[in-house]
Amino acid sequence: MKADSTSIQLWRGFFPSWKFFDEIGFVPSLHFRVAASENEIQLKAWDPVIQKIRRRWLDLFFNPHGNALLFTDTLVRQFADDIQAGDSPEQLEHAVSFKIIYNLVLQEVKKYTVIEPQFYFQFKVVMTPLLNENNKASEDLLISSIYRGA
Amino acid sequence: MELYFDRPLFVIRFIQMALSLVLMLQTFEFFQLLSDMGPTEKFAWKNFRGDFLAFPKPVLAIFDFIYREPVFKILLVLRFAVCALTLIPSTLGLLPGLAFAQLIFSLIIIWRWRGAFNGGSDFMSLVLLMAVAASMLFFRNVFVAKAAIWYVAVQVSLSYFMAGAAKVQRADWLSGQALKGFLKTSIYAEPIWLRKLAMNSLCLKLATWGFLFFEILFPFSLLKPHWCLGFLFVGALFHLSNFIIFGLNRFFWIWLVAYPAVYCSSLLLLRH
Repeated sequence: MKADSTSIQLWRGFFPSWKFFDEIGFVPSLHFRVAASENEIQLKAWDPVIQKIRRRWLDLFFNPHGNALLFTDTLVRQFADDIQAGDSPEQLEHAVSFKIIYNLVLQEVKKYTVIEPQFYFQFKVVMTPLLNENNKASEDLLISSIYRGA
Repeated sequence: MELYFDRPLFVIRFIQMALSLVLMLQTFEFFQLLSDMGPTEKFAWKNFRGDFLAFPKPVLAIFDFIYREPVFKILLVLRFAVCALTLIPSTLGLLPGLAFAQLIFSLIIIWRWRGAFNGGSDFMSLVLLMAVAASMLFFRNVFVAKAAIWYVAVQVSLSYFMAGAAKVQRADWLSGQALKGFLKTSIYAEPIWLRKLAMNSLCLKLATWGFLFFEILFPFSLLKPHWCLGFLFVGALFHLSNFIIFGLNRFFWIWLVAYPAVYCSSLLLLRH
């Protein structure tokens, strides 16, 4: 299974490719929605996991939050690559990148559900064209099952 | 300045000290990150350990031990301490061991995050750590120090050239439209001045062509020291703009740490 062969990634630091911003196509982004019941969730709007932040000059020296967001973005890109590799949904749910994304969303959802003892959530990966040529629309690459959190 | 920067042993020591300062800054960032996350954190080790399943079980058990949160924090403290020690002049005799420890600790820390926490900046950190460690292991050997400096200079040149060569083949980059697209992907909210810049196709084209020329031509910086200083100055501005737009603060510092190797290489080439 391609998604499980990710241990190779550990060694990539020794073979840097030095290609930055070279992929012009679709940019993946992660969205989630949360509700108190399973029926209610279909009516809820999707929120992005990565919320844009305000820049500060201090970030040049100390930028933990910004770097955490950049790392989250990398994880979403790795997950989108795994989805596009064509694994079946069952295989995908066992992939490392899926577990990471599931946990990321769960932690994000918990911020919204401090009071609720039980909640349901769902997430999706949206592919947005980097260039707005020919009015290309965004596409849902994956919409997850509905999960129960507590 | 040339009096010092044409001395490979001095340059390696200079890079090691600057690298230590940058790694100390990064360690502070990791600490803040781990404190923000709490025990059921966003990037919990249990979700990342699947990447390590290819390792034999005893090795996996070692990683399980190292990456548990209290132990991982101790590892960060240890790297911080090692980096701090390299800054003290009286530890000269310990430098080979400290350089090797810096490399191993950094490698373990980077692995925790699927092989890289901050992409290219981690790769450049490894290039520098390997160069410094190799040079320090053959302490006071000028030939090895020269080789290490050339290795860093070639990697820095490649980092720009490869990035530029990949872009220059794309019509969307040459028209400036790709830059417009990437500006929207920033983690930062777009300020008004940036939105105005993105609306102006001439500005986009000029900015794009400017940094494409810089990236493609960078290897020529090795040919003459005064060209080199010019390229390095533009490079620092380039990374500063990448920080302002995309928040890439680690890239700014780590490339700056590598620059003395590029300058030293240009001086060595001139002398040759």
